[in-house]
This record gives sequence, C-alpha cells and structure tokens, in this order.
Amino acid sequence: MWRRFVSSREGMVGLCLLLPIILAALLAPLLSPGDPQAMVGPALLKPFADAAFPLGTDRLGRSVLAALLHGASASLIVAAAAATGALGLGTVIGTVAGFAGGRTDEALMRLTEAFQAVPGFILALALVSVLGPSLGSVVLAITLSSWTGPARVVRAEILSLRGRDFVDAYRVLGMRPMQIAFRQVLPNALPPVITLAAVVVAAAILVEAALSFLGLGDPNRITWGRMIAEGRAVLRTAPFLSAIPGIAIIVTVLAVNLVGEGINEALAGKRVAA
Amino acid sequence: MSGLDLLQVQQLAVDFADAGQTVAAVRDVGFSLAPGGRLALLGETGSGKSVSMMAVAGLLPENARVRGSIRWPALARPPQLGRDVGMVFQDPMSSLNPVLSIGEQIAEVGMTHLGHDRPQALQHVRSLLERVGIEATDSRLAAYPHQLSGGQRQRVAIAMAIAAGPKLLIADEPTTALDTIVQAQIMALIDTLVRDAGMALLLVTHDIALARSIAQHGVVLRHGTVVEQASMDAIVSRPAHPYTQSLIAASLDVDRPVPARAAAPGGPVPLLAARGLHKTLGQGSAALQVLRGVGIDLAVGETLALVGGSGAGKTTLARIVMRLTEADAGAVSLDGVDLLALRGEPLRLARQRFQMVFQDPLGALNPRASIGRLLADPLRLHGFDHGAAAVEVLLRRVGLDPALAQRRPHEVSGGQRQRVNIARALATRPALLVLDEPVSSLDVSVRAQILELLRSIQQETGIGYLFISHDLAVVRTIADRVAVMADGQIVETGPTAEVIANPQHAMTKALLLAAPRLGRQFAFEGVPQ
Amino acid sequence: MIPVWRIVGRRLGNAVPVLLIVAIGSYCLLELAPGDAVDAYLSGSGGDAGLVAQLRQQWGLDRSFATRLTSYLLSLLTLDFGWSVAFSRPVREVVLDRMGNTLLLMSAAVALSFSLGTLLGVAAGSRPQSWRDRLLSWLSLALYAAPGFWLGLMMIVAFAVKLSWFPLGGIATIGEPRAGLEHVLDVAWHLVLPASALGLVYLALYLRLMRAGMVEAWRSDYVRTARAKGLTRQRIVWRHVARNALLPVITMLGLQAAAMLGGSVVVESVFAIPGLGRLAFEAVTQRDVPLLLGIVLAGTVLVIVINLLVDMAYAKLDPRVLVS
Repeated sequence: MWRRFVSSREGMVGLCLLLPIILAALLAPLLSPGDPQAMVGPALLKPFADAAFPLGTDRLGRSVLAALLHGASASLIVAAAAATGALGLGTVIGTVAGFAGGRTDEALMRLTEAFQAVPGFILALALVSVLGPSLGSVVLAITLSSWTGPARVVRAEILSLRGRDFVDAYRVLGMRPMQIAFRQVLPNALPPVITLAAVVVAAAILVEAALSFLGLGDPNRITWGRMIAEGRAVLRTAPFLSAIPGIAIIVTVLAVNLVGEGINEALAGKRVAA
Repeated sequence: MSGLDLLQVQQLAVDFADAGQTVAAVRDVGFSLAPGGRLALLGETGSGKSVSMMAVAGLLPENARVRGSIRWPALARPPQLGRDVGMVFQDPMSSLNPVLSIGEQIAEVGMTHLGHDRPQALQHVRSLLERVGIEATDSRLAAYPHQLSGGQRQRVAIAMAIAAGPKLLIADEPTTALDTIVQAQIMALIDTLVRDAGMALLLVTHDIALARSIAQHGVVLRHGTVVEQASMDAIVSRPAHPYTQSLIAASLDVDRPVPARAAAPGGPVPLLAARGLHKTLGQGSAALQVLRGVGIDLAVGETLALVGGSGAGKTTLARIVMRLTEADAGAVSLDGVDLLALRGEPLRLARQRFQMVFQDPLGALNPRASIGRLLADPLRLHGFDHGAAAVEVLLRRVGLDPALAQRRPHEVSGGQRQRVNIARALATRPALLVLDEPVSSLDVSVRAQILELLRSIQQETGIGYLFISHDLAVVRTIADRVAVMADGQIVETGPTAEVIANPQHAMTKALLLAAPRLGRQFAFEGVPQ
Repeated sequence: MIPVWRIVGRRLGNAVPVLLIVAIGSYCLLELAPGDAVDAYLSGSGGDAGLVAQLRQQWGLDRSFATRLTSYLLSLLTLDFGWSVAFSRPVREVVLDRMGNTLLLMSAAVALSFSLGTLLGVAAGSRPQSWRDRLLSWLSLALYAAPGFWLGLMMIVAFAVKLSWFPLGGIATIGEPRAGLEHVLDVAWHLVLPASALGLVYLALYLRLMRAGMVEAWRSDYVRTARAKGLTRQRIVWRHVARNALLPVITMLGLQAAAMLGGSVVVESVFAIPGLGRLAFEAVTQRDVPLLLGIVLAGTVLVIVINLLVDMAYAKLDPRVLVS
C-alpha cells in the first residue's frame, strides 16, 4: 500500500511540501529562538532587503519569518486536533446510525442534518464567542462544525456493506452481531473516511485562519490568520505583510490535499476489487 | 455464392501497455465473414474474444497497440460505427444512458447517420420499437432505462444497433445478464432481424450451445490465440483440438444423457420440510407477494433443485430456510425440529447443521480477510479445531492448494473463490447445504468442475442439497428431484428425469424450451414472447 | 412516478425537527455565555444593583431556564425573534434588513462559481491528461487551498488599489442615490470583487468535481455504446458525458450552501458589505445574544430552503429520483 502511495505523483509532491512545514513548525523554537512577538528590528522592512530579516518586518518591527515559523505550529496543532475530534465523533455517530437503523438512525440523522444546516462558520463564531477565544475553544468549534461529513460517509459505507452477501454469510455461520459489526464490517468502511481525513484537516486550517483573522483566535499566540489581519492596516503600503502568510496557508493546505489524493490512490487499488 | 467478403481479419495481434509493461492479449488471430454470414467467437474469460471483437469495431482503449490487418472488402469506404456496424453489449442496464429517455437514445442514431430531423427520427423510432417487440406508445418512448425490464432494455439496445440498417451486427454476450426464458426470446429476435435484413452476425460468447443455435461458423479462442476454426456443426460433433473437446464435454446440454445417479439414502424423517410459506415484500401499493403458500420436502442425502425464472421467489425461500429473512406465515422443520421457532443461542448452535453457498462468489467473502481466516471462522464459532492444519484439510477437500490460505479473495480466480465458499459452508459438517445459483457466474469448464466437486462431496458425506437454479441443464446433472416455481408457488415437482421428459406445467415447458442444447439449430419457434 | 411535491413535503417535514434542534441547541449554547443581555446593555454605563434587578425583571431574565426556553420557542412561532441589544430594534427587522445584501452576494458567487466551474470542468474533462486538463487541475488545486478573505485582500490590492478598476468596498457608491438600471449596475460593479473572492474557492471545487465526473463517465458502458453508435464527439461530450457528470456537482451545490454562508462572514468583513455575515461578526463583538441567535436561525432556514431548491433541480435532471 505504501508502494502505491509512493507511485502517486500528487501524494509524493504533497508529502515533500508537507514534511518541511511540519518540521519547521516543530523546530520553530530552535530555528528562530525567542519570542516571535518581540520587536527586533526597524519597522516595515521589505523582504529580501536585509539578510537578518529575510522576510522583512511588520509595523512593530517584528520579524515576519519568526512569526511565520511559530504560526505554523499553531495552525497545525489546531488542525490536527480538530480533525481528530471531528473524525472520531463522526465515525462513532455514523457507525451507530448505520448499524442500529430504525428510530435511532432517524434521530441521529436529524441531529446530523441540524449540524449540517447551521452554517459551519457561524456556529464556530458562536462557540468561540461563548467560550472565549483560546486554542481549545477554536478546536472545539471546528470539531463541532466538521463532524457531519465523516458521519455521513461512515454511515453510507456501513449501509452499503450491510447489504452485501458476506455479511449474510457471517450471519449464516452464526457469528454474533456485535462481532460482525466491529470486526468484519467496520474495517471495510474505514478507507473512505481516511481519505476524508485530509479534507477535514485542510478545512480546519482554513477555518482557524479565518477565526484568527477576525480576532477570535487565541490572543497569546501568533497565527497566520492574525498576521494577515494585522497586515490589513498597511495593505496599501506593505501588502507583503498580508501576502506572505496567505501564501504559507495556500502551500500548507495544498500539501495536505495532495497527500489526501495520494492516500486515495493508495487505497483505491485495494478497494477496486472489493 | 462468390463475391467479396464483408470482413477479413488476418494476423491480428493486440497488446496493452499498462504501467510500463506490455501485456499481449491476442496473437495471430484470423477469420473472415461473408455478407449475411454468421460467425461466433468462442472462448472463456481471458480467451481474447472480446478484445478481438473490439479491435474489429475500433473501440479499443488508448493504451492498445493493434497489428495485423482488418479489411472490409465489400464496403466501398471505411466502415462507420453505427451506420455500417451495429453493436449490442452484455449488460443492458449499464449500456444505456440513465438520464436520457429511450426514444432519445434510439433517435440519436437516425439523426446522426440518416440525416433525420426530429419528427422523422421519432417516427423511425416507433417503427424500430415495433420491430424489436416493444409497444411504440408515447409513454414508452419517453420512458427511462431504469423503468424497463432487463429484456426490454436489451431490445432497446438492439433497436439502437439496427437503426441505421448496418451490414454487420456485433453481439457481445448479449444474453448472459438475462434470465433463461428472456435469453431465448432475445436470441430469437436477433435471429429474425438478422435474417430479414440480410445482416451478417458476429457473436461473441462463452456458451457453445448458444453459438450452435444461431451461428454457421465458429472460431475457438484460448489465451489469445485461435485453437480451432470450423463450421459450428463440425465443432460440436467432431471437435478436433483437445481444448475444444473439453469445452464440448463440459458444456451443458439438456438433451445429453447423464450418468445414472445412486438413489438418495433417505430416512424416516425428511431432512428439510417446509409448509405453507407466505412472504410479502414492500408495502401498500408496491407490495409484492413473493411466496404464496410454498412447501417442499428434502430427504436425507437428496438433492432437490428449485427452478424458475427470476422473481419466482426461489431466493426468498432460500433466505427463509436460512433464517436470514422472516416468513409471514408457515413452518420449516429441519430433522423434525421447528426451525422458525429457534432464536438466540439455540439458533446459533443449530446453524452448525445447515449452511449456504451464495450466488456471487466475490461478494460472499470479506474482501479484507485472508482465505485462511475466512475458513477458520466457522470452525472457531462452533468449537472445532481452527488451527492451520484444520484449514489445510478444508482447502484440500475442495481441491485447492493450501498455500492459498494467505491470499485475499480478489487475488484468486472465480472458480477458486467458489471453492472457498463451498469449503467454508462445509466446515461445520452440516447435514443440509443450500446453494443459490452457485455456478451461474462461472466459466463453462469451471462450472463442470464445481458440479463434479459437489457430487463427490455428496457421495462421501451424504449431505443434502437444496440447489437453486434457473438453468435446467445444470439441474439435470445434479438433482434427484426438481420443484418448479412460478409466481410464488410450486407448480410442478417430481423426479428430475420424469419432469424433464414429461413436463406438465407451462412454466416447466418454457424453461425446457429455453434451456441450452448442443443439438439444436435455429429452432426458436414456440418460445413465448 | 412520485410527484415532486411529495419530495418537497417530505423535506419540509424533516426540516421541522431540524429547526427545533437548532433553536434549542443554540439557545442552550448561548445560555452558557458569561453575563446576559442586561450586562451587555449596561456594560458601557454601569448601573447600581437596583437598576440591574429592575431591568432583569422587566426583560423576564429572572425566570427559570426552562420557562425562558419555552417562551422563546413560542415566540419563534409568531416569528418574534427577540430584541437586538446592540441596534435597539427587533431582531427580525435587523436580520431582514441585511439579508438582502447577503443573498445578492451569494447569488453572484454561486452564479460565477457554478457556471465557470462546470464549463472549465467540461473543458478539462473532455480531454483528460491533455495539457489543458493538467493546467486546470493544478490551478484549481491552488485556488482550492486559498482562504477567501486573503483572496479578497489580494484582489483589493491588485484591482482596487493598484489598478483602480473596482471600488474598495461597500455595496453601492455613497452619495447621490441612483435609481433603476444605474443603481443595478453600480451594485453589480461593487459586487465583482467580493463575489469573486467568495466564489473562486467553490469554482475550483466544482471544476474538480465536474472533471472527475467526466473522467468517470468516459469509462462507463453507456459512453461505449454512444461511441458504438457512431455519434459525433461533441454530442457524446455534452449529452452523454457532461450530462451525467453534472449530477454530483448539483448535489454538492446544495451541500456547499452552508459553507458559503459561513464564508460570507469574512468576505463581507473584508469588503465592508452590510450583510448577514458581517452582522454575525458585529453581534459577536457586541455580545448581542438575541441577535446572534436570530442570525443562526435565519442562516439555517436559508440553508434549508437552498437545499430544497437544489433537490428539486436535481430531481428534474435525474429521472431515477422520482421513481418509488
């Protein structure tokens, strides 16, 4: 399976882009020691003008590169945590709905539709405003607004698998329903969810950026969204302050999406025969 | 009659380029077809018959490399698909565009090749529909593919193929996806249309009896090369090549004499007895009474075949016996024990005594499990030894190499998969095995092997079979008694030989008429339309 | 065939429990917020305990949670969404005032993204693996990864500041009021950049979906039949391949309605458009709980209606839907 991923061009490009970003995030304190919010140089220095500040400085003389590196970790932590939450919650609800059927399924479907009908970002806004801006509330907000996708996918897979002959075959053999559900059916339902994981992570990064752009992110951390917001004040004279973090977001989300395509191709080979 | 051939194929070779590797599909294939002639390309899966046909039609995918010559001497200009050559494919459901009405899809041909405008095209469509046996009402024209039955869809496909009056009709396994009786109707239709219009016919099939009934000449293909080429007469009665001989021997023929069967041991109590089973599916106006008071008897060690067209209720009956579906009314007893009353743990334990082999060998196996694990499951569930040695015993019993235990279902062939299914069903040493169309989706030669396997297991163990099939030729070789189902009821039952020799009910007669025979040619009269 | 209105009826029937869940859920959620409307009202000026108690009683905030929830739900039935603290007007009025602009913005964004996206998707998918296809695929991947608000800012820099082709923001030019066609054109001119910023991401999505659908359709049996019938390439591309590939795109249209509404929050903020999205942001910053609740509900209703319309369109295009 790994071999198939490696043969996928999209997947490898994505991985090559993503690994350095993850590394940069992890090693930020080493690569750029000190507080990224410290004022270290002259204000509004253009990028590539001074070797000490390769990406320039902002209105308050803070290094853009330092902020970029430290901001990476905030984005990735939030995205990973939120995606894990959304996938976990979605899988559980989707599995229960798919297997239980009947009234339980109906009720869970109504719940899923409710969460899907509320515009996700507005729900996130409401949550963050209620709980106060912090990394935790942002994670919770994104989780609650993204779990419906995985839930639907898991439920659909399980419903289609339940009708397959091999499930009947297990019943005929006398296997207990619980065993059939969790040991036989669920492993077959997971591959599309894994592919969805990449999409969820990518979306989480974008939502986090939007929240911090609006000033609703964690006030103690520097994030890419916040950098864009702060660059807005000097948009005419120093557009690079908003442009650079945006490019970073694009590259990261692009990388995640490409890795997702790679995973999809790696798993597709296996599922085609099923 | 001398004259130019319609089609001349010489030294045809086709390769496929796949991820850097080249796969040879067809080598040195040659045949010719006169105008109005009928040729069958015969072979099993992987023989290259479909690839050869697609090469003639010019429909091969982009990664195909074609060498050799394909010429059309009788045509003044290069052949155009749709106008000079019409094609009918295997699965009518997926061959029709689901979002366009059938009227539209047939009219397209006239509008493209005959220069029709809309009113002309629709008029043409009406006359075509009548020719293929569908009423040409406005609602039919506006109907969508999913609203028609399988047979009707194939008639629409045929209408599309002949719409522009082609010189050649290519039919690729045109009846494989259809019910036996409908198969006969469609072949009769093709026979009539081709004869009336003087079209040539190129038939691609694995079914020798089918080819014999409609084609004059045959080309037998195996592993991409021609093994034998002669008139269908010669192929059937005097096959020259050993492979052809084995194909003929393995073919199903309802007229061919079968070896006498030892009588079933029987016993004081029937192994399986069902009485008064009723089942309705769906609700309200869409409710369908699938079973209407059905009862059967199966003695110990006997094989009872349940035959009928699709929708007759055979699978529903099987599912009720297997306790996968609940009956609305009625009783089923196994060894005298009331089967329908069992629940929970007693039912689970009782399952050791009765097992099932499903129709689709691939769908019945968990795609993520290894074959070894699939076979160990029933052993484990019923307290038998489930180690590697036990699994090996099971594999050998059905004629499989024990090394296959590591593989996954999609990594082995169709025939091997069905053997795995049988092995799994036999693991708990049941007294009754229900088999739902176990050989329908298999290649001809594999089919015969599986039936032989089932016979030998029954000899050894005295197991009883409830064998569901729509094909009387298969039934004849394996069943002691047969019960014919139609419309949710058993309409005729008795010893196999007798029922086949003296069919009483209309349905039995229709099934018999539609069954494949090697000795028959162009004899489709009498098939109910 | 099931008539379309039966599907409509069933969807509307489902919508009722959904709205109920949303209403109760968001009421409970906002109940968790520290402080209440009185605190927000007096946050600027402060007030003694007596005034606070008096206001609480006046506004019914001293009753139990269950009572307040019930009375809220009942008032919803009469379409009374409460009183906006920040604007000192009924929530319903405030929301309706702003909804029009958001609908305009979303319609423009949807029109742009759907039409261009599907057309480009057909262009890409009609010749898979061609240079045209590869170019469009990579372009769409990049666009898909861009945050809408950032695209908006960059567009402002490029087109409004540097090139001065479009206005910096707002929905109409302030100053002399225009009428009729002039007004329409003025608004349209103002909407170009924000609709693009909002819609480009979805354009990329529809492009990819349409292309994927076409690649899938090319491999299908019915396209093989179409080729066997000798139909012209153009006919095959449009009537057989694209027509089938369009179906999943239409489904996605409905599913993206909620996401687009959320996206309008940031785009409206960037372009200073007085719409529902920006109103939500203002409600958050001003701690106006009833207004936020009203926006959540209004947004939900909007999404449900849009989904219903999309379902009806889909039923028209896919004949398999209406058969029982």
